[in-house]
Amino acid sequence: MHSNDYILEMRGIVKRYPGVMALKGVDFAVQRNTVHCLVGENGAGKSTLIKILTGVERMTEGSITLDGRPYAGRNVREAMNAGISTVYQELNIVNQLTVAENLTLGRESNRFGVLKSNPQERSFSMLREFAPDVPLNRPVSRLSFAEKQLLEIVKAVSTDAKLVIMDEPTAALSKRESERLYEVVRKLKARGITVIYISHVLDDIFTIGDEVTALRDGNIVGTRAVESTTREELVEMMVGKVVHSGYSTDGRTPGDVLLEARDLSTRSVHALNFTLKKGEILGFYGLRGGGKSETARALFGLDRLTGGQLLIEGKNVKIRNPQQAMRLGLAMVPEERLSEGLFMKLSVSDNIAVTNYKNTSRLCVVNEKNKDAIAEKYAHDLNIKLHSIRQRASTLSGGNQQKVVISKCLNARTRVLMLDEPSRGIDVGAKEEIYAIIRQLAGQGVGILVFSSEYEEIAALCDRVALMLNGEIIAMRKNSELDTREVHILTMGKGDKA
Amino acid sequence: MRAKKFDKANYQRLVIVGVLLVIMLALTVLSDRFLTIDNITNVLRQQVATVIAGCAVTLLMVSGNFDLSIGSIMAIAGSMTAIFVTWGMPVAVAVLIAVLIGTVVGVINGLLVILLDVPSIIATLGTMYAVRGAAWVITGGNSVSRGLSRDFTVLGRGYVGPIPLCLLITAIIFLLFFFIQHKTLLGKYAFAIGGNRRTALLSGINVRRVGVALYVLVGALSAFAGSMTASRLGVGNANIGDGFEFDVVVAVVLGGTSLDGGEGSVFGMLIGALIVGFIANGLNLMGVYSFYQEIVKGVVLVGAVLLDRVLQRRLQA
Amino acid sequence: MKKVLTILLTLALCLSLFVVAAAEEDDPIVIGQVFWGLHDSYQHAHQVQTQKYCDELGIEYIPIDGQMKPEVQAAGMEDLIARGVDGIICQAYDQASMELSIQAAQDAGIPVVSFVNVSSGDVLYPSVEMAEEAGAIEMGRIVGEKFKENFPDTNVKLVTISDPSVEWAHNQRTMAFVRGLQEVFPDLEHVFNGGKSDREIAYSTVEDVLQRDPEVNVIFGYDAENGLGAIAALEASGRGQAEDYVCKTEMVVSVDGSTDEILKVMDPNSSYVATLALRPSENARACVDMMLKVINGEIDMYDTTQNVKIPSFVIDCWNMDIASTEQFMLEEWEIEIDIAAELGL
Repeated sequence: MHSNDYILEMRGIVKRYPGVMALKGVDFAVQRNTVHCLVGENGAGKSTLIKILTGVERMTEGSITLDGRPYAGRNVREAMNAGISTVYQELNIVNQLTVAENLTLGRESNRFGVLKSNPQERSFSMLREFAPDVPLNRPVSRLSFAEKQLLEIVKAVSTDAKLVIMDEPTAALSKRESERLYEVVRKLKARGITVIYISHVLDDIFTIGDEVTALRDGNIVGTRAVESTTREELVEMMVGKVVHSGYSTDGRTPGDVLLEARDLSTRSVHALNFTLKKGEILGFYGLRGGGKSETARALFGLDRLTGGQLLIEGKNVKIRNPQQAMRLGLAMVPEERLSEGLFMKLSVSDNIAVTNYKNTSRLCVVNEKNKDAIAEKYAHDLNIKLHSIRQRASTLSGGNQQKVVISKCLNARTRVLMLDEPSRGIDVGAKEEIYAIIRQLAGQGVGILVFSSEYEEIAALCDRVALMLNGEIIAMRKNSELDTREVHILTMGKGDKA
Repeated sequence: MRAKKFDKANYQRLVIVGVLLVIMLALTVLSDRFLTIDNITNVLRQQVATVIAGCAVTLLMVSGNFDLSIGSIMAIAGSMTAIFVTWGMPVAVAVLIAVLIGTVVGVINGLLVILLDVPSIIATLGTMYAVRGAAWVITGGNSVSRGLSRDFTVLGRGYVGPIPLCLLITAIIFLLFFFIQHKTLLGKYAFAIGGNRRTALLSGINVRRVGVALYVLVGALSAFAGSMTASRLGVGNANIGDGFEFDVVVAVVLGGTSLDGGEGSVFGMLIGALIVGFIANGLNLMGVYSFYQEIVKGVVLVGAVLLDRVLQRRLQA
Repeated sequence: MKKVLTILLTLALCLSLFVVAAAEEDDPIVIGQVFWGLHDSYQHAHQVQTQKYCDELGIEYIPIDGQMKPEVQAAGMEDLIARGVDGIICQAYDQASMELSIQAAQDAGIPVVSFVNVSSGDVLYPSVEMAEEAGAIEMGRIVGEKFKENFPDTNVKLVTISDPSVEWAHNQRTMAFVRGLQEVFPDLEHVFNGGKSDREIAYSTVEDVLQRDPEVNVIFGYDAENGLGAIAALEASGRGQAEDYVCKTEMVVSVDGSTDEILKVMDPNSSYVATLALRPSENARACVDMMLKVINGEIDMYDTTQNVKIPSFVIDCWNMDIASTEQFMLEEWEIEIDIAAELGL
């Protein structure tokens, strides 16, 4: 095989972060003018690989050949010049500008800084081809997400890109919008462009993919032609032989029903029905966009209910905002620990006290001693490793930060604890510790909801699991009934939504 | 095509123009002296400095930055212009050098904010004090009035035919910035940077250069406004422009520029300046006591912005 | 719809323009006044007195706040000229700049009477002057004599809280007071001058001066704000006291004669001994009277020879008693006050 058939060859790519080896010598090659899908679970190394390719991160070892020439990928600029364009999940669009202004941003045709009137940009005609119903002079703020994404794709491609990377492009799209996107990807291919397509959604892969490569734990598991593989094979490549590790009930016996959802609906979830008993750990598993986080948001009063009922201990309750949720005994450990869960610049004890200043203050004056004592207690109970309770939260490790967030929730006298991706960004040892804490809390009678996109986590923790797809609970399984392959095939979706 | 007409920017313009017309109508009804050519000319003349500096400040604020030092730049430029003229320098040269001094202050602001990453409020607060102090030092706290040639007042009080020279110049500067906002890279980039800095960076825009350029423009135009004010007053005085930065910000914000950047227009700023000017003038004409005038000003400012918010929400719903 | 509305509004405006132009009728005399800055108790009283006097005479009166900014004063003058008033009274913050505005008014046929400022020669206009200089000199002399009795064998260490950039006030008040004091103490030590017209600045300035030079024994503030700021700083450091009008550590003097100052002066336990009382009623009436004379043609609008001088009035704790002070306050400031009750005597 001639190396010329490959537009991109990455050899022996190693990426070391302090304490972690994200890529362990990856060989990855992409044939010219194909759609090459990249699959793998969270943490498998997909995003690291892409970051190295686009110059956002530097590789520790390895070499890259792009279009027959060596490529170093020192920075974003170099990647762009080499013909690599990326469409990120988080779109790079200036909402205040018009479509045309966004398309030409940074590359406006001008003479001495004065814009040429009515320039006939190549990107404009491309937009007309890809999205004929998006007018050039419309402000981007009034476009839908899918239209913005199209805009970004056109912008990416119009820079003479040879290689376009798309990072989970259908995650936030409806079924019909996804169809349109497939069409766009096919058009790109017709123009001779190579696409690296990252997705969890098996439908995507089987609709538009030519080849698919699976990554797991920083290694390439294998590359297959899409025609000659099956869903089952792909899932096995991604998740490997999963051992149900660590699950135990610890003699817990779930008690009375604590929380019950009846036909709970918001704009993004539909008719959810589930119950949570005292001392039970209930998991929600699905892909991003499947409705896990949206379920958590609905329960915590962040999204407005459009229908259904929520009962706590048999009583009908209405939760319109997080304050009400907390008053009813709900607490949330958010996914974005740094931005949502912690005041990084405040001390550990301030962080823990913030959810319940009532028990540490009198007449609005905070009793520092009292506050520290409460924080000390949690630090001891949850084994938070720190040198002082007054230490800034930002100086703790990820696992210990997570414990502070949990302490915070417990301090609010929580009856139902919701954890969104509880072990994201936490190293393995700390993970086990967090799991132990969660089980221990359940043992004390707290009802626990775990929202996770890590299958192992769900399998290790949860007594029952709700599998989610497109904002619906498609199946409910007891821990003992969990079958790795079935779970993955179910949640990666047939995409029945219209 | 109907959709295009209701674009947010156009819509905002309509609202603010409506507010201006309503205020003018109200003042016309309330004071029979309000709607006269002389009086309207007066108001325009009184807002000249605000509009000139406001042109550049609008773009600066659109890009997400802020400048508190413009009143001080005005003071030092006005004082220096007068001093140069007393030395026998031709007025045009004196104004030019004064504008250069403003440019230098702008460069300093730009370096501090853009290159050294000092928060813009703090950096320009610093230059605000320092430059005001320098103006006092230079003038010794006294006004510079002796030995000024007759030409000195031409810029601020002269006429070209029936039209005051200062209005003519302001109109030219306004049109220039209208052009810059709509038709040049600088204008586009100011909006892009204010809208989404990260995207601007990833799109290969030299974000720093644009930032410094905007500060320089603000410095130069504030200085020119200072020269013009000094000329109008017939003296160089280090006390002028006290609180001017807020007059300009009020006009800019009334004109629909977001304090977070990314939105705004020099046209809106012009209307905003006129609203402020007409209110002050109308209330003066009616003999409303100055303490009440301040209350009215505050209510109109918040009221206009609120009205815009409410109508906008309606539009989106 | 919006377009139609816009057009209608514009039409209405244009129409009223013509209506207004056509409707020039006889109305009462209108006098405008541009103040130095109305955030000041004297200026405020002057405005109130003028309003009252104009009401008595059936004159329409338009006061404008100059806000101690030359550009605001100029704008106020322009507004009044555009308004077509019959005459303007003004007090300049910056005289050179104000004279340009005066000239513009005169060119438009509107006479101007200046309060305080006297024509510098380039632009000619009549003025009502406050003859403060003589009063300030006299006050200096009185304070000097009493200082000698109060603190025998002590030389004066003087601090003045005065802004030299406001030239007329600095010269006619501060320096005149110093001259009067020098008649008694030719070798007095003038250890510090500074400040604006601001109570807080005066306070901190005096605080600093006392740190550096605790021997200071006469403090002069060139207006109420500065005098009251000075006494507040002294009191805060345990000074500023007297016993039956005999001062313990220093004497405080100021210019303006506002209620707060007068209460201090009349307080037997305070070392605030004198204030040069301005006379808002007297001044207000003199300004309006002169304005009317100019409007009626009795005085030419460029005449500088018939200026009126209103002498200021020294209120000190030695020559004035409570009753006569109350009388003065009622007449000039229209303030009814029971000083004894206020002071708890």
